[in-house]
Amino acid sequence: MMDSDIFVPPSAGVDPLQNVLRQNPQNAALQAAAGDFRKAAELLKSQLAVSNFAHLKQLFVDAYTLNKVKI
Amino acid sequence: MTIKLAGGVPLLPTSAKSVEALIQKGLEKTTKGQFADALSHFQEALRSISMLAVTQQSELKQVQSQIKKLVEYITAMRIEIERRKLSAANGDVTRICELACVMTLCNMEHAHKFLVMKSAFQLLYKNGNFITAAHFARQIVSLEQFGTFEGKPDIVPQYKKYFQACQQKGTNALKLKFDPNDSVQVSDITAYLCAGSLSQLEDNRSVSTVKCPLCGSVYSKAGYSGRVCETCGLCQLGADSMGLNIMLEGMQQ
Repeated sequence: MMDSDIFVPPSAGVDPLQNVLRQNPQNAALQAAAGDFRKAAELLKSQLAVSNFAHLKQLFVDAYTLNKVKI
Repeated sequence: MTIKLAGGVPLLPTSAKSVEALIQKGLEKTTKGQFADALSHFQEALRSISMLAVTQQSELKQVQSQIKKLVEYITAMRIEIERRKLSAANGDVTRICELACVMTLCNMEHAHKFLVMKSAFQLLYKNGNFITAAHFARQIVSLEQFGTFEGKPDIVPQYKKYFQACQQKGTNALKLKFDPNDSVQVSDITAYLCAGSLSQLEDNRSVSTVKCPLCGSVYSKAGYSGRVCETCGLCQLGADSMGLNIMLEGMQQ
């Protein structure tokens, strides 16, 4: 009997976001998209001295949810 | 199924294109005279730039010029809103006229510049400042070379007539803190005006000013160090920062 009736799932591909993020850990938008809001906020604080995040809340959430969309 | 990524960048809600779309929305509102709506579009565009990722040098340049344009328009909108608030409250006429004059220095598109100069002219004429009014009539006529008045042939002769009328009166009723020469020398409102108090900077050297790390708005150091930038509403002024990192490395093109 051949072993072809055993289903071998293909190995998971590389998440493009994680791939880009590994090379660009200093980009706030990518960190927010990956769900690390804390890191994104820290980056914005050190890069732009952002002290008022209220206006950015929606942008953070948008970046995160857009990356959860399955096409 | 593989998702085609725009230039290798993961899907992000903001891009140089989405910023441009917001700018266009704001410009339309400006043309219609809905300044509060225009201001919120421009500020939204400016804030979304902080959450941007670009892969090409040309995009980075585009974003930098977008920031410059946004700052000019946001300051113009804030001046206009402030002026309307003052004139609704019957405030200081001198200050109202100064705000109208200063707004003409914002680096806007010629069509908008015409509208601003027109309202400054009307206000100055009404308040008897004929010398300054004549200056703006002449400025409006000089916009002709940019094709601003295409399809409106009566504007130039009309303002030439107004100019002569103002010249005949030749007096100024109010003493304004505004030098007509600035219309030629000042091309951007940034570094001319303190973006917080909206009045002229006495000294615009970097020793006595603070700059917003995102948008580059200039404030006088004495009154605004430590406060939040009023142009973008995000950044703390005068704090040390490294500058925004939006350029992605290692993108295959």
